[in-house]
Amino acid sequence: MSDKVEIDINISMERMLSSDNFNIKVNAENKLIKVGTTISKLLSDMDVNGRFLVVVNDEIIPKSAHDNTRLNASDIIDIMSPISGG
Amino acid sequence: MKRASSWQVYDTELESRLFIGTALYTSPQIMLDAIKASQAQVITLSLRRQMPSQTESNNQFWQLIQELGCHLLPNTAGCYSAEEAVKTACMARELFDTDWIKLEVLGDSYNLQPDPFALVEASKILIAEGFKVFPYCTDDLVLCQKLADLGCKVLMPWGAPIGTGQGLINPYALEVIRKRLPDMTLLVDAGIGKPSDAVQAMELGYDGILLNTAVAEALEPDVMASAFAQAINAGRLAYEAGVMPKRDNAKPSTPTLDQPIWQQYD
Repeated sequence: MSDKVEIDINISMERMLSSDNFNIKVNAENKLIKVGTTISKLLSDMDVNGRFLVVVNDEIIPKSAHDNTRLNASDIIDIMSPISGG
Repeated sequence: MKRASSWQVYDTELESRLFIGTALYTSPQIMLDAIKASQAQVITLSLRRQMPSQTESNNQFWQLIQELGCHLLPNTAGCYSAEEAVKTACMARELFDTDWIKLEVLGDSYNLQPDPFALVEASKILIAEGFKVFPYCTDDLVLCQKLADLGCKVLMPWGAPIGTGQGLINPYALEVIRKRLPDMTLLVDAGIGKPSDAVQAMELGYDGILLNTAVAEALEPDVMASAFAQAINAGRLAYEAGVMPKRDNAKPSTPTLDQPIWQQYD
């Protein structure tokens, strides 16, 4: 009988790269960001522009709060955009 | 050409009685031309998890929408629960800066039939949150009455399942809703395939039509959009003019009195 050891690869990778970084999810994709990153900084880094809405962990974040909202480890960010519809 | 009277939708005065969708067109320009030809003042659209910077067409879409200057009616398409629909509606309000919401909560993926129970549940929550709800519903009278009791000022029963183009499958049910809810603003949403379907709904006393596929999938969408605009206007004028009652027996339209040759057959 052998003991199994489970390792969370994402967390291990984070620690290996830098203790100043952590993972978040942006539109279902993993992204490594620096501690203290605000929504505005993230949007700027990802070149997001035009008409969009930011939702963090199911909470709508108004544009006026983007500068002051710092992201946390494991946050789930959805960036919503207009599309055609019937 | 005489135009039908203007009307109000949640305190917004409109001239056109056609709401048109923005989906399924083969190009953004074809969409733009068709919507302009339709003379619609209200357009439907939606929202999805997409990066504006990564989808250039997305930004182009939004620019065209702004160019049209129409009232926006975002939908909750693709939601299968009241919770999902409420969340989507809240996001749409923030994204599009409107409290109008076309509430779609589906119950079956085969015919995209609205779930009446979830629709009532979501409507109740959204009305309490200050939304102006446009529920896409079936042609069930009792469901429509429940939605009206909750405070919906507009109801949008289907003519037929979305995208089928089958016209009014159950005109009797639609007529009963019109008769039982005489003060309700009613639009037929979905299933309209050709302008005569729209005329039929308008002659029943419906206040407007919401459609998308019938125009977007026409060979010439802008021409079809114009045809629908004229048909909807004609249907409404006919309703306002008062349609004659049907009779079982023929009745001559030309006066028979003093007809010169009658006496030969006396």
